[in-house]
Amino acid sequence: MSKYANDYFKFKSIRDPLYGFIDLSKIETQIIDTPVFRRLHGIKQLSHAYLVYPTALHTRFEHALGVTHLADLVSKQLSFDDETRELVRLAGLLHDVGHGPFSHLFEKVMENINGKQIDHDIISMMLIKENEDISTILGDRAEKIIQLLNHKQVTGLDEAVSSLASDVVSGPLDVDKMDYLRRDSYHIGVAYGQFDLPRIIHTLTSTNDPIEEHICVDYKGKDAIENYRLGRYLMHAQVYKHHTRLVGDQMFLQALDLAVNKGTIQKDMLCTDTDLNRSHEKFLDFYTSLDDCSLYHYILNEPESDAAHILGKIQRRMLLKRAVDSLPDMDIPNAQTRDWISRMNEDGMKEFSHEIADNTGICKHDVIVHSSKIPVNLYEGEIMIMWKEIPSKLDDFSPINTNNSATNKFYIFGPDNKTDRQKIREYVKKKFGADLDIVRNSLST
Amino acid sequence: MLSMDVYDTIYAVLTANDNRIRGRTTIQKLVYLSSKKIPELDVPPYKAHYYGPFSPGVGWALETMTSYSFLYEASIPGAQGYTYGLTDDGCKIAARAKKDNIKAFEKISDIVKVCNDFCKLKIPPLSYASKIHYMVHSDTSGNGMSFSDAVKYAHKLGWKVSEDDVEQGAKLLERLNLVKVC
Repeated sequence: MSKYANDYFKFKSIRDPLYGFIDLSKIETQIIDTPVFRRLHGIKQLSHAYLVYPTALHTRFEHALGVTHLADLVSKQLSFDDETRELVRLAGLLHDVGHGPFSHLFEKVMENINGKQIDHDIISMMLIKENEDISTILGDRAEKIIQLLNHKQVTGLDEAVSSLASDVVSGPLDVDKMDYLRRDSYHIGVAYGQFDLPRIIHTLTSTNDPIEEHICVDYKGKDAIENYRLGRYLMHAQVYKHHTRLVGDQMFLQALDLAVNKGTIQKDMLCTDTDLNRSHEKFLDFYTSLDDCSLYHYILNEPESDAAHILGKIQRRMLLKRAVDSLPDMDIPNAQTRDWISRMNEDGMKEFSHEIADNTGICKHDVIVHSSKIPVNLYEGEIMIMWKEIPSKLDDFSPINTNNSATNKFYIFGPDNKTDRQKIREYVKKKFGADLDIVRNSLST
Repeated sequence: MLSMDVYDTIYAVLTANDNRIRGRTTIQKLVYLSSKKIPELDVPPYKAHYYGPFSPGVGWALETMTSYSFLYEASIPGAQGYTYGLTDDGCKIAARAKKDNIKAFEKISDIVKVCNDFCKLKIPPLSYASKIHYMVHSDTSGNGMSFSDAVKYAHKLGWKVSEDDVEQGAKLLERLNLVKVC
């Protein structure tokens, strides 16, 4: 008799504002009760977006539950067997367990400390493998979930199904994005991220390749996908890349940089690598002790430090303001200047911030140069549409111009003091030449 | 030796083909092959995407160059995909980059010419060549790779190629002096 009885995935039901109830299996219930998973309650989904949208306080915890729910709906739509369904659900539940404080922002901190990208995805896999609570609950499923999250052939699954199962959890059209766009929209109170989810799920299919299947949408679902794509763009434009959220995030990163350099946050405790074959016990112990609150506490415990001063400003919403807000392709006619800005990496932006501060007499913590990009295309990879039984790229059917372009914005943030911001503008104008006359004067207020 | 960044590498690839190239996949593959041939190119890493070696960093640079109006992209009437070309400002920046990196630009021009003569810059042969190069250099056995081994290895990476595809890709790599076919 199969271990997957009718009520296997209905051991517990949890209320959710988007889906009504989310059903969980016994194993999933045990997982969400582990300390390492419960910690997600303390990690805001949208870092400092609450500075613009006061209700943006939802956490990675409820998002993980939502992803599990959608993983189930998609598994049923794709006719996965119960074992695959269970793996996909668990991978969905655990995909973000490796997030650090303030979600993606902490990835920047990790990158600065380690000198290379250490994203939450790899830390999720480390935790699935090495966290005693989780690995004990999962048993031999742990390795399979890691394979699934890592887009590797899942032991015991048919090869074609394995690639399809991975796509459900991470790919151009995965349950992660489907949940967060709608969930963020709901909690913030904007309509931009809403799209026709039932239509998309109902039209999901596979490319039906015998070697490697990928997720694909029946042609009938094409317009719902356009809606999803537009929703994603608008959420980036209005929420994720809102200038106030960006400045909050940048000030936070500046504070973290200072705290790490001063030793308030112990750098060596956050040093790690991406080798899943070795143990990361010390790193994981410290990392999982951190959440949004504990990180603030670490820094605010040294109230005289520059880092604490900056975080205090974020807490009181005394944020830096835009001195320059420019759409370079429209506002900067000089090709050399535009080229220089387009190639500016994070170190270059820091250097330029310091240069402005030095030349204007403004405190160096009060000048932040930042370049922001709002992508139009859909992540890495393409969304495939099934047209007359041939998987084809969505872009090839789209009446909306979905080219490779993006909207770039170039910001210089300065103190909440008109005179200082004017000094910044004048310095930049002098540096770039006359063409910076067009930096929007409306921001001088 | 001074390195040349991904932006200038893309400028070099485009100027080598009369300032325009059809398809961003073509650009991805030409940058990949160039980076394997010319050590001074500082190009972001490639990974085994399900449609071949792909560099998110090259994708990012293309997107940036387009949105800063150094590249234009135009859909191809009656066909799939886009043509990428240098705008007037893109030509100015490319000319300056060429002046600073004349040797690297010449080498890239030779690579693009070889690829053009071989397959008119069509995506499948460029893609086979990139996949095979990626596999040969990921294989740590050091014993070389037969065509049938390559088909099996490709399968492991999620790539579907036939022995004919491998042969075609290997021929291009041989013309570029990137592998030796015995």
